[in-house]
Amino acid sequence: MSDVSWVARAVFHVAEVLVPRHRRAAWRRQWDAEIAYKVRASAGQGTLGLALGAFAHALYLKREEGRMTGYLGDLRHAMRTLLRRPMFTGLSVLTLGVGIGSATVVFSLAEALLFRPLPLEHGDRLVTLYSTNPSTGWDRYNVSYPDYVDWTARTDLFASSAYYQSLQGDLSGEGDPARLSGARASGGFFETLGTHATVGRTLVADDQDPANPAAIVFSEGAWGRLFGGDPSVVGRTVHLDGDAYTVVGVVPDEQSWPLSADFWVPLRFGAHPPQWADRRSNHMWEVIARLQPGVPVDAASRQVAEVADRWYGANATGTEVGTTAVVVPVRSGVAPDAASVILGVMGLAVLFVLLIACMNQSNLLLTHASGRVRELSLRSALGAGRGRLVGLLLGESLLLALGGGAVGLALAGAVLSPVMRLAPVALPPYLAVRVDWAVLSVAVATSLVASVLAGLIPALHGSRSSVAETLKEGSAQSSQSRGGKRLRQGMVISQLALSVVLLSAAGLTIRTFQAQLSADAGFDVRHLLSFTVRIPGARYPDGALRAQYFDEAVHRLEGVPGVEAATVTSRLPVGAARSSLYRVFLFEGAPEPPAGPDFDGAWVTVGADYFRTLGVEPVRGRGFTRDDGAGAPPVIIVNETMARRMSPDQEILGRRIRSWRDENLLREVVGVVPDIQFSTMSGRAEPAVFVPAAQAVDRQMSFLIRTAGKAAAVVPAVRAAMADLDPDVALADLGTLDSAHRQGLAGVRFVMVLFGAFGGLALVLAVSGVYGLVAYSVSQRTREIGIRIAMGASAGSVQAGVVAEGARLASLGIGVGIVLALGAARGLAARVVGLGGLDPQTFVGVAMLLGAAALLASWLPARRVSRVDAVKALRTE
Amino acid sequence: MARRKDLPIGTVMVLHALARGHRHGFDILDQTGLTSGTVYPALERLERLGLAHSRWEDAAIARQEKRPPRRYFEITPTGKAHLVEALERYRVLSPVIIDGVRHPKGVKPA
Repeated sequence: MSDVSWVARAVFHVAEVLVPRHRRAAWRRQWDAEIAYKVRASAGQGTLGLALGAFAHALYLKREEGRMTGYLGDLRHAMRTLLRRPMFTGLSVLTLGVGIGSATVVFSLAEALLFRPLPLEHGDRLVTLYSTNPSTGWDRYNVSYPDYVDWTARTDLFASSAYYQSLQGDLSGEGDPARLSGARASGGFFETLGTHATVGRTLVADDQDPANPAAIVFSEGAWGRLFGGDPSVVGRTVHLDGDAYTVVGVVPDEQSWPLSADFWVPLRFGAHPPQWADRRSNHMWEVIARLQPGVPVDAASRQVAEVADRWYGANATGTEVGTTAVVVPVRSGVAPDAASVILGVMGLAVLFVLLIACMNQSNLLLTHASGRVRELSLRSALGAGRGRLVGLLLGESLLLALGGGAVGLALAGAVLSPVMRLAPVALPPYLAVRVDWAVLSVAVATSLVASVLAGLIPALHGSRSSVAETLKEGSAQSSQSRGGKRLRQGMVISQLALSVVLLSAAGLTIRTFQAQLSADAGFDVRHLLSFTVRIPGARYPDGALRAQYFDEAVHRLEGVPGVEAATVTSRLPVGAARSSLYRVFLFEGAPEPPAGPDFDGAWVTVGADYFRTLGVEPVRGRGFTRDDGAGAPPVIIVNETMARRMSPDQEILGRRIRSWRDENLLREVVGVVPDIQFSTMSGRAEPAVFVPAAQAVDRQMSFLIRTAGKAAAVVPAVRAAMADLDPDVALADLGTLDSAHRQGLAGVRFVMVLFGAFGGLALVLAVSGVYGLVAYSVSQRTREIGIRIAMGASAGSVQAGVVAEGARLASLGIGVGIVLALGAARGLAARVVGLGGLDPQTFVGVAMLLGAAALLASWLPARRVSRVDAVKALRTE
Repeated sequence: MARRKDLPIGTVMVLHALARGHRHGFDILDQTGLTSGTVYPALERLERLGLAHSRWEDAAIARQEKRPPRRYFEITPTGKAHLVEALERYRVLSPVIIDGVRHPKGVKPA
């Protein structure tokens, strides 16, 4: 470069600095060559022009570099800005973290409970077929055999299908008798599931043939528990309910259906199902099917419904009118309906929390942005377009949201297992609720949405600042534009309103829970012990033997020290909702439906001392006695609801009724008893009839034992007495009725805890929103307040003004919220079984709680007003 | 990436020079009569758009000629297609007859 003029050399040096570092060497080489050429061509003349070219070249390279890293540069700048304000950043990240964390928790629950397909081959093609009847409101119940045949005949829809029945059975001969749950399934069951045996084989169609030995398949869990995981168990004979079965195989737990089944046995009808199974009205089968590849679930559902509609449209009578079919995907399917309703409601709740968090964040960002109007104006004056400014501000909000997402994920991970301990169902390990990739991606997606939700308004607002105005001296106030303030107030009001909705929902579930827990079960649930037995049909083949077993059992139990009374029943009162046997009843001589009316009610068989054991006195007529035996005249007792329904105007005592189409035996009504709760959730008003167990003996009965002291104290003696009577009969679900009663509310409790948590979060977020707004407004009005105080206003009156601002926001927010909450409560009560509806106390309570919190939140910054030094405040401007 | 469609006329001229076989900065500068402030950024831009590519001259040749190795540019096939298109576009600049001005060589008044 020695031949180049010093000016040109200077220009080259400056240009070189401009070139991005990684391109500098190449740039220099190129220009060495260019200069050499020029020097040779014109002996050093005109090198200044060349230097200017080099300068332009360098500028171009720099600009190009800038275009590529511009946004990253913004992000880097955003990061620096955020780190300079740790309070703001920490608060934002926490706020968003709470919102995103709540969403993540609910999503992980939903993912595990609703959306996760079973770990089976093409598990997404597995479906369940249900009967359903929108006109009666019966949703998704079992399918009758003829319906099953009609519906699954469409082989273009289904590759295979099977029907089955869940059942329980006592396994004896392997140590203590154990009560197992399982299924009796048609051929093709495991083929449809796509389950492969880990040991031995699964059930095949031949197993249905009564000529072959009865086969049984165990789940790995039961296999480990009962046989210590011994593979030689295949081929061994076991006794289930006294019947002999040959163990043929073991299947993996995660390929089991229904969930947590212990065993499977084949349905053995022979060639044709017996008549009772073949009735169209006998909705007794659960159905699974595997869709043909490429058939969507809703298409299959539509077409099966058409088949059902055709038959029921032409042939149905009575309550069967309107019956149709629905096909739903088999997901993890833990109580699919209840779970999906609860999670749907939770999803909405969590959306509210997230919205509140985002609005809080918006407000924080607005406040933050107004503190840097100068910076933004300067950038805009230096040529940053509005898009660039919006990008810059959104970049900040993106960083904050990603931070929030990380915090949210950590929070979700921390609370998931405590939350699941409260869940009403115990989940098998392969359905464990966990934070996995799906959950992670949802958390990230939520963060991105949150960043836009929270950041867009402040970004648009912040980028709008007018250069001329804001660069003027002393114009800090101009940021507090009318529009900005409105925006902030609107968001605080919305936050409050959404919180009212959440808190009301929480209050509603809490009150429902309390009400149901303290509700009168119709009898004293304390000091009662219960368990269920199922005596083997092989050893107790007829009614007389069975009745003798139960009589003897009751007799022996009454002899146990500490026992006051004992009885049997086909259906235990209180506790979790169980399936129950409903029958249709007609008065003697009444015309049969559809000509005459029918009345349905729960069919409960009870021992002679049932009402005495529960401590329930008949309202009219009498209870049962030991004389109401097998040979005695058939009798029946109805509860008050049943009596009122069947015979509102006339005394029902002494009239004769029959359970139409089932037992069909005329029974005289000898008593009317008060209603008792059959399930803790659904409450009391359920029509029911009671029949002496001696006149309608079953193999499966539950025992109820009233004790003088603590029910749990007699458990060992009860076990001993029952084992002495028949050591091969298992006592299932042995426990106190009191704890069953509480357990029956586990679902409501779960909803209550989650709602309570979300409501609490909403409260904290919304109140901090109020605090933030009022505090900000006070800080912006320091000068005005200073003037007022200088003019002689008392600190008290200024404070009152500040608090009044908060109060105005609170009353608006709460007002809007109450209106929304009224609607939400109606919707909630309609969807969640057992939830009480509108409850004025809850609404008043919520309004007062939120109002008080909001006032406190405005009073805290208001206190600062009294510390404003008028002189100082005026001087700062 | 900047759009190729709206290349400024200076850049098109540089591309044109490349098509005619001029291979490096100063050569093009001489040929087109454009300023150096136009030519060098234009070359850079053409390369980024994939219309031209550059390589360094073999060091041996440069040593033989006792000068630093040059950065040579070449038009790419995409560049050629693009040039055709661009020339088509700039055909609006076909010679016109302007009163009182000396007509360019080869254009005769009607």
